Amino acid sequence: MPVERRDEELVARAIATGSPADYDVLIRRYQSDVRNWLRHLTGDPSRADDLAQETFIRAWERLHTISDGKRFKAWLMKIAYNMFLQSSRRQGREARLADALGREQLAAEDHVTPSQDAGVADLPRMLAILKEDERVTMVLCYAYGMSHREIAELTETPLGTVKSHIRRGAARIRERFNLGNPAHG
Amino acid sequence: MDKTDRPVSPEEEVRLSALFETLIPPLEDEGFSAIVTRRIRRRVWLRRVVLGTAVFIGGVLAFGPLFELSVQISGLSILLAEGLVSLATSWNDPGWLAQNGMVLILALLAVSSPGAIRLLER
Repeated sequence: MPVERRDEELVARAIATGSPADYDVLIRRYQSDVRNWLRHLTGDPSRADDLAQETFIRAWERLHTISDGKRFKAWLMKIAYNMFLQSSRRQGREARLADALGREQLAAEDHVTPSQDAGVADLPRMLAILKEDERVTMVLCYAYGMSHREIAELTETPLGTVKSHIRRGAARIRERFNLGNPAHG
Repeated sequence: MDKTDRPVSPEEEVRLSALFETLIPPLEDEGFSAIVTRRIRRRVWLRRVVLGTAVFIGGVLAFGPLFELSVQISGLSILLAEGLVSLATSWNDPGWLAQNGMVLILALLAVSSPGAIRLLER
């Protein structure tokens, strides 16, 4: 059974050889996370996959700039986030406004009373009641398991602000959903 | 206590993680990685072709002036050697400076060239 190489080994080998062979392993390892992350940001699987391709290509071109190969995933997610922001700026405010309106409508449709246990089916409404910064932060924290410091670096936000987003986001969710019982989901 | 001030409890952390992780179901590769790797290999190949072509064209363009420069340098080297010999035999002669100005200029260039090269690199 082949030994799975660690990220820092693959990064070092890719930089040293200049060959995409080792980088290909990293692509396969993180393509799901990056594509999911961009799908979540864009709401469009096709656009997300295009951005994901550009993310990995940009990361390849800048691989020599990474200071710590162990943090490759967080570094990659940051590139993906920047690609999304650049793409959004190019597309203009219309796309972002449409997305915001959709979420507002979803939030308005929320009929779950606090006594009901929050389940997976409630997740879209949970996300809809969050502000964009809170949503991005909580997804990175609870879906991707990133530390507060990693999230702060990725989003270029002060660490205290990240913690505040999580605290406030959790409070919003807590107000409308019951997080106490893990019976569902 | 205002709910917004309350930190997320460990139980809530677990619950939120369990819920939010459903946002990222594992996606099948379905050729995604192969497409990206192919695009990267194409870029690597293209970069090598462009760089190689640029070096070749640059070499061709620079060949003439470089050849002339090498001839001049060899001529200057001979001149420098003759000047050094002259300097060694007549260094206490006050007129040696006027006769060996070229030697001084070349000596100054030789001393300052490492610094100049470092400056250019920077």
